This record gives sequence, C-alpha cells and structure tokens, in this order.
Amino acid sequence: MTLLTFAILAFLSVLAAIMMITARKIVFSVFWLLLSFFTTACILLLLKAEFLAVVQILVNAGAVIISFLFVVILINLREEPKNERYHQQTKWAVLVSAILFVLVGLLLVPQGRYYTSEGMIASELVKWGGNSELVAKYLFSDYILPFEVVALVLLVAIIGVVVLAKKMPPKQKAE
Amino acid sequence: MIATIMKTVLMVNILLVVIAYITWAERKILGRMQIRHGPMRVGWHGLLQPIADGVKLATKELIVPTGADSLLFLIAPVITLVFALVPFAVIPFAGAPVWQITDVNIGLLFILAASSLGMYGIVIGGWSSNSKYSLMGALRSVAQMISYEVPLILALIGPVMLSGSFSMSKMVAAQEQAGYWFIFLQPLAFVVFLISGVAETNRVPFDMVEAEGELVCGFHTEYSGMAFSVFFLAEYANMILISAIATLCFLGGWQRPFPTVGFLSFLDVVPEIVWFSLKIGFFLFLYIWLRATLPRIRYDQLMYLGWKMLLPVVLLNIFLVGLFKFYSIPLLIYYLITFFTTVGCVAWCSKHFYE
Repeated sequence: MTLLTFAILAFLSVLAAIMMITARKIVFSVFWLLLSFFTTACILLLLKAEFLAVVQILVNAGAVIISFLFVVILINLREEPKNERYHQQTKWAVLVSAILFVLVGLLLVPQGRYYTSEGMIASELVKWGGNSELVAKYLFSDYILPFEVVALVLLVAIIGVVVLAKKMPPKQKAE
Repeated sequence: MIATIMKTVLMVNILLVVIAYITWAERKILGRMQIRHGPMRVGWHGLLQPIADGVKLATKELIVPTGADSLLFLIAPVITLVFALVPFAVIPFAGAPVWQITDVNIGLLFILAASSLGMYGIVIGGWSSNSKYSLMGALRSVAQMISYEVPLILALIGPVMLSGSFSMSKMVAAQEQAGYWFIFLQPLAFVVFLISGVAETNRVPFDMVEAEGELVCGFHTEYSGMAFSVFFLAEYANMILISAIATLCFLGGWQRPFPTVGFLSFLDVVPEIVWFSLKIGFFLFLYIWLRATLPRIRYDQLMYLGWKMLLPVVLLNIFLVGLFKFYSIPLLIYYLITFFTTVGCVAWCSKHFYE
C-alpha cells in the first residue's frame, strides 16, 4: 500500500516536472511546478517527516509560487512559438542528465542499503516526541548560530530589496 | 478505515447543509438589522429558502466565456472548495476522539498549509476567465490574503507557545489543565486574529476583492450556476474554519464558560458539541454583524492596517507571552499588563488609522 502510494506520487511528481519545462504557456508551467511541489510534500509525509512536508507546502507551494504567478500574470507573456526551443541544447542536456543519474546511483549503491519508501530515520524520531519538537530543539540549541546568521542574511536581503525598489526623491538644488 | 471514510462523508455533508443555512441566517439577520424581514415566502419564515436557492443554482446554465481556458476555468472552484474542506479533518468538535477525523501532531500547521493552497483556486479562476475584472479581483485577493496571512499565523504562535503543541486537541487540553482560556492571556492576539481572519475570508469590511461597485464581482465575475455557488460554499466553509480555530485556540474549544467555577457545574449537562457549535455560531454572527455595520475600507488603508499596525502589535504579543512563559510572572499582574497593553494598542491604532 505504502509502496503503491509512493509509486503514484513519484510518477506524478516526475511527470509534473517534465510537463513544467515542456509546457508552452508559461502560466501552465507554474501550475505544473505547483503540482510537483505538492507531490513532493506528500512524499515527505509518507516518510513521516510531517513538519518538513507542511513547510514545503507553506513556503514553496504557498508563497514562492504565488509570487511567480504574480510576475507571470502581470508581465503577460505570449505563447512560445513552436520548433524553436531546445534545438541546440538537446545533446548537452542528455549528457548532463546521464552524468547526474550515474552520480546519484553511485551515491546510493555502495552503502549497501535498500531504500524503501518507509522513512529510516524519521520514523525513529517519532519516538522522541515528534518531528517538529526535534526540529525546534536542534534549531534552538546546537544550530542556533547558523540559524541566527541565516536570519540576519535574509534581513539584509529584505532591506536591500526595499532600498533597490524605493523611488529616490528628486534631489533639491542647493540655493 | 471505513469509520474514517464514513466520518469524512458525514462531516462534508453536515458542513454543506450548515453552510446553506448560514446563508439563510445571514439574510435574516441582515434584514433585521436593516429593519426588514428578509426571506419570508418559501417555508415558515423562509426556512426552505436555501433549498430553493440550491435548486435554482444547480439548474442554471454554466457559461464558459469566450477565450477562457475551459479546463482551468472549471477546475478553479473545485480547488477552492476542496482546500476549504480539507482542514476540517484535524478539527476536534468535542473531547472524545470520535468527534475528530484524525488527530495529527501538526494540526495547526496542516490547517494553515491547506488553507493557503485555497488561494490558487481564486488565482486560477481569475486568470482563466479572460476578463479584466476577474484578473484584477484575483490579484487584489491574493495580495490581501498574503498580507494578512502573516499577522494571522503570528497571532496563532501565542497559543502554540502556551500549549507547547501544534495539535488542536492538545491546545484545548492545555487550556483545560491551566484552568483559563487563552483569550485572557493574550487578548491582543485574539483581536489581531479576528481582524486578519475576516480579511483572510474576504468578508466585509475587507471585501475589496469582490467590491461590487468597482470590480463587478472580482474573481467570480464570469462564473454562473453551480461553479459560482461552489465559490460561495468555499467562502462560507472558510468562515466556519476561522471561527473554529478561534474557538479552539482562544475560547477553550468545547469547554463550558468558566470551567473552573464550581457552582456553574450544572452547565455540564449541555453536551460539549453544543458548546463548540455555540461558540462558532457567535463568531459567524459577528461576521454578519460586521457586514451590516461597517463600510468597505480603502486599499491603502488595508495594507497600512495589515503591515504597520497588526504586525507590530502581534509581535508585541509574542514578546509578552514569552515573558510570561519564561519568567513565570504571577497571573494577576500578567492580566493587568495584557489588559493595559491591549487598551493602549487599540487606542494607538484607532488614532493613527485614518492618517
């Protein structure tokens, strides 16, 4: 049952990813990306990493895609013409994805483990009081410095955006 | 497995019937507030009006406008309704586990995640209608919902800090154990949650999205028949959802009023589900009351209220709750502190709102 659910979700997420890059209307691309994020979140749920799944939906599917949609709808791109895309990239794309496939395989195989859809670490964590509790505990004890540094970097980014987007008032001439 | 499916089916059906009768109650209450009767003809005091409306909407023709993307156009209301109904899976309606479809330990986060996906129905509907009014309405709606989601979520952090859990049933259990409802510890968060809840559901006075006067009807201008009513069902389901979260996080869920006062224990005769429904009913009445009372606010006022007033106020609330939790301040002193901060914040906001 779990394996079947995983198979369906995995198929859907790969399909959505492929459809995202081949869709001709860019708005459809965004919706396919949304489906891909959503199925990934479902796979995380299957691994009993429920906190990560919800964060995936809240941040990626909820906030990031909405801002994509805003941009796409507002700049109003027209439909892509046929037969003009990817005509030089195909062989390079095949090469790169073949290399990536081999690399990921090499990472997985020598450990001698059989990866099932059942979470290996996540399901053991549940005994310690659930996923979100543990995330919170580690985030605010062992990893407090990186956490704060990331927060600071994000703050700097926000201030930078505001400064860039702000219209400067016209300079007044000195008398 | 079968029990869960049966509970789900039952829940969805009950919700839809309740929503139908909320529309009746809304028309009746609005009528009373405007010194008229409201629906009177169909059934006793118009009690069969929702059914007549339902039949009318179901038999109407569903028009897909020219140039619209028909698949997305038809799928949009379904997305909105589905993600408005999904969060009810983790809402406990009374103490016993029978009254809840499933109790997950990320309940609150699950609700927020699911309801944030409901926005896509509105965007897809607005975009695929191929109409300027719809697109404008959808863009406004999304901007408004994103802005008000921030204070809404931050207001819910207070109860989560006090109960130490995201689970909705543990939230009520924590209030039962403490002996007081969380509204007394954080009235600030409650007020902010109420305001942003009204804004999240696009109700008056935050109904810029549907503004009949300027945008015809916003994102559902082009919808007719059943698709239109599905959007409406989703809006009312969201109202019930916000009321249920407010009840569970701030008003002690299914507990009777003053749960620790001994001589009121005769109130325990009333079943828990009735208390829960009564509290939800109070919030729904509040929604309708607001609609009858307040004019629509301007768009810049909306953004000003969300980002420059509710956000700092709710951050102050998190700070206060942290102080209470960390330094274990005596309850009475803390009550006084929160009371005066709330009064101060409300006074400050109302003074600076129209500037």
